[in-house]
Amino acid sequence: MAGNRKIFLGDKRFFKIAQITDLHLSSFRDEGPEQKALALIEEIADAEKPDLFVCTGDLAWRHDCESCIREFCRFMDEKKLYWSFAYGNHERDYGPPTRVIEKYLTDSEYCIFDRGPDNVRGQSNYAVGIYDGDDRLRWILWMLDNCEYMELRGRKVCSYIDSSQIDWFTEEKKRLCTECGDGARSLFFFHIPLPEFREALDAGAAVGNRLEGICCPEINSGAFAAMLEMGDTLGVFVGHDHVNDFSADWHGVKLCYGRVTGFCDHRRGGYPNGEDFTRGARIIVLDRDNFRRIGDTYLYLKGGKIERQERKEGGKA
Amino acid sequence: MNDTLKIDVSRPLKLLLLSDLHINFRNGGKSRQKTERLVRGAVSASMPDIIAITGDLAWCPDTELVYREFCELMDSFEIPWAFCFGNHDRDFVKDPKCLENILESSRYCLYRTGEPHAFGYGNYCIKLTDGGGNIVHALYFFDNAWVHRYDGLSGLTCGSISHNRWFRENQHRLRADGSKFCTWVFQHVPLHEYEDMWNAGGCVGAKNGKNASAKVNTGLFCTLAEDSTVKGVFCGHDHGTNYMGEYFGIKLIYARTTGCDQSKNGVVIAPCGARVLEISPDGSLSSRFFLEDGTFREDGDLPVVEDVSGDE
Repeated sequence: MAGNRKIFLGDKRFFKIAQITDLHLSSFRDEGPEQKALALIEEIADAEKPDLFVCTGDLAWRHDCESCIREFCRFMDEKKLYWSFAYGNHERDYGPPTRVIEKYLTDSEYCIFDRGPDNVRGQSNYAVGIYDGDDRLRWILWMLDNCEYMELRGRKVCSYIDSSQIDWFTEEKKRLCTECGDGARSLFFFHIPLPEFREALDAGAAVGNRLEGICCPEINSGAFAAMLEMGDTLGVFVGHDHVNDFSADWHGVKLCYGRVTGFCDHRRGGYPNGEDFTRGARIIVLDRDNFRRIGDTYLYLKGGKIERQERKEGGKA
Repeated sequence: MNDTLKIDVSRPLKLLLLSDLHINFRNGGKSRQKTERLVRGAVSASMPDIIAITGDLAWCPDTELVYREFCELMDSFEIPWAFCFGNHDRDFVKDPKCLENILESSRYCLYRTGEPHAFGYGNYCIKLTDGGGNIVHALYFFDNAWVHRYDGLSGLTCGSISHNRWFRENQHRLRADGSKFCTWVFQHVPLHEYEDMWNAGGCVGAKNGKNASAKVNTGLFCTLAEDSTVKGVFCGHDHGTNYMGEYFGIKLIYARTTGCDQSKNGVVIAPCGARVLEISPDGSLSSRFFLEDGTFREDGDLPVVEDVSGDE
């Protein structure tokens, strides 16, 4: 599917995305957490029938990243499930994502992927356009690569979405609007939460689980301001913090964590393993007849439970 | 005036920083007289090479008159002065262009309409050069107090990512001739990172309540931190707050409130004053306050006062 990053709705009214995140595949050798994650993806595919899976990073980690991504591509092709992908930090455990990995992703029939322009930082900055039955561009799904750590004035800081990326998506949006007419709405998918996730939480705007700290960049690069200035951003969807799944309406934009999809037994204390924190996915529904907002978003949990994250009286994040 | 000024590099640059004068004609102009006396006193006591004003010069229905008369006062010193707008400067004018015209007709005012693609009025850069024409200091003035056209941003931020882009492009141009210089940024509203810096500790000066930064961070600090020539940022806006410190190697400096009838939550800010800085070509600086009683006070003498007036 390389090169073709357009999806046409045809006569369908709804477009459904399943955001999967932090699968942390490390080996395919035997029965393990990897097989559980794949079984969950099949379950989600059967139950929700999404049009597209979007993986927001940390698909694979550790030394066997290449073969895990190869196997995952093979699995999605076998099951005929379309998916797109933004790198997380752990694909870089042993160096930057290789050209071998990139080739698996671009060669896979069902993977919608592009490395992105060379002058833009990162290895997965690209847009997927969703067109309605009249071939009008309705939504743009932006995949951004957070990378991992970076140096700022000699200090190691958590990587932020940098100016080359901000310039790219704001300029690319203008270009697409000239090409396809105004009106398309933007949804962003990447791995590491923006600092605004913490602000929204502190302001009491969040609904859902906050079971660990918000691991966001300590420096605000203005990515969220840029998304606001675009004037058409509907939502931002991230992963990274496995046991946070909250969402918040923040200055007219929906900030959402996904729901962790991987089953790895995490090294860090306090991370639940096995069944303690039910794995799942965030479902995002877009409606052609009401395209200026997010139609619906909820969590699908393993076993079929739906969690809607509606604000209750005295509800907490 | 020109956008380039020659300076004497054999000694530190003397900069007088004024802010939030809020000139008005209330009470028979009593506070205005006090404020102007303070400005005169600060100029004659410090004999600066350049004067910078970080916004909120006027706050009254006669804004244009205030501007005209203030420009006359400033021109009488025969010292170049630069200015960026605050939020209150344009409360009573239909079109900021009329204020720009007054500033641009002042003989010693360095104000420029500036970069057309940067949001607001008066985003410009002044270059201070040595005898050989090499840039020693680049002074950037940003309008981060103008109201956004886009509804979704109105009230959230008055800065814009267009400032970051213009800054990067302009710095690229300045560096093209290979000069090594220090970069300083002036704007009205404090960056969010002033609060982060305060929380990290080590600041000197007073903090009067919560910093009134914009609701959305446009990433200017990040842009500045990525540029190794940036040494310091100056702002006003928060009356009675006058601390300074260092964050990621950048000095974040509040002006001292210069207007003499300022209050916050009913508490009168006193004593008002100005900040006098001596800046070396390598970017190191010393700073002290000139106060309304005509005396100087070193920064280090000031007690660190947090939230003196409680919640806003």
